[in-house]
Amino acid sequence: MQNHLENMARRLEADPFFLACPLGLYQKSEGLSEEALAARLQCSREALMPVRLCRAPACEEESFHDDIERIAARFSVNADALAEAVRQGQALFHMASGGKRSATLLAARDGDSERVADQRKGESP
Amino acid sequence: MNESPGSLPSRDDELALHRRLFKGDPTAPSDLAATYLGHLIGWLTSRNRRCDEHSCITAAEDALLSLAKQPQTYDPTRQSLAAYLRMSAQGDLRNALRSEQRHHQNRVAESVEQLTLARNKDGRDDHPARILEIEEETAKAMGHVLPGVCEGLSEPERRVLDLILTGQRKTAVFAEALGISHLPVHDQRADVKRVKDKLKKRIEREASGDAEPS
Repeated sequence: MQNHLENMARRLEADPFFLACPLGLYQKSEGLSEEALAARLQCSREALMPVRLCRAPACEEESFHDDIERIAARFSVNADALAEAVRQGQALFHMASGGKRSATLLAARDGDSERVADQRKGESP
Repeated sequence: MNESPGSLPSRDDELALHRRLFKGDPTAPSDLAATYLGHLIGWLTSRNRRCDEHSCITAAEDALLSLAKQPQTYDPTRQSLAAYLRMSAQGDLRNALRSEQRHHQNRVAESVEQLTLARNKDGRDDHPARILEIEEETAKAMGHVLPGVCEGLSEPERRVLDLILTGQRKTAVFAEALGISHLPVHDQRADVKRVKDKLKKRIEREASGDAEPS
């Protein structure tokens, strides 16, 4: 089961909707092993997999820090280190995709905005 | 939240998880995967025994990714989240298999066509090296449909299939393979044609993917 989740997290390194993408880019750019990345984020190596499967917070939105705090608290990760890694990884992703936000990311964020708007109207599923 | 991979969450837990996805909780996709991935893979592999495990895993992942990105596609009033994910994963698997079968069908058709073109009408090979190359390609493409085609065939029918795949065209050779050389030529031709037609229909049916998984 753990292997299936790890394989899925690896697959998601190409999908900016998930944290696996910016964290993977950050890890590669810094030349970090799994152990070194865990040390940088001040968490256990086992915690990396569920963190990678989380939704990536949008760096330009007000909710960025709230989302980072929530992920950090849930999986015992250092919030500041995670925020720095995610920001750097997302910047690398934007640069790699020609300085523009990818259609996937835009679509994902559009969906988020709609959900936030729904929430503000007090709607629920 | 019950996160044991072997058991499914209660109705209240799955509703709570869906609500978190809908509200954009960044940790919800991770919980969704941890809760349902193992269950979906197990369910798909047990129901689709003819499919390879990799296809089942990809379909299970696709179903979870779709829901994580578009939680509004699930209507909690219609069915349980587990049932919805199983249905979605089965649909993803079916689509992937159809796409793969179309690819194989094209390869079979192209290879057989090339093989026919490369041989002259007398059955002599014009370019032995090219013929061999095309025969290998045909055999490779046919490898995916052969188990289904061969199912239930008699031994003589299998010999006819082998002859077709090697590009044989002579009725006398087919008649010998069927053990009907003693019959009048007219009857031999009729019997050979009947068996060849039967085999061609089987090949077409298997290559087009009519025999789908459940």
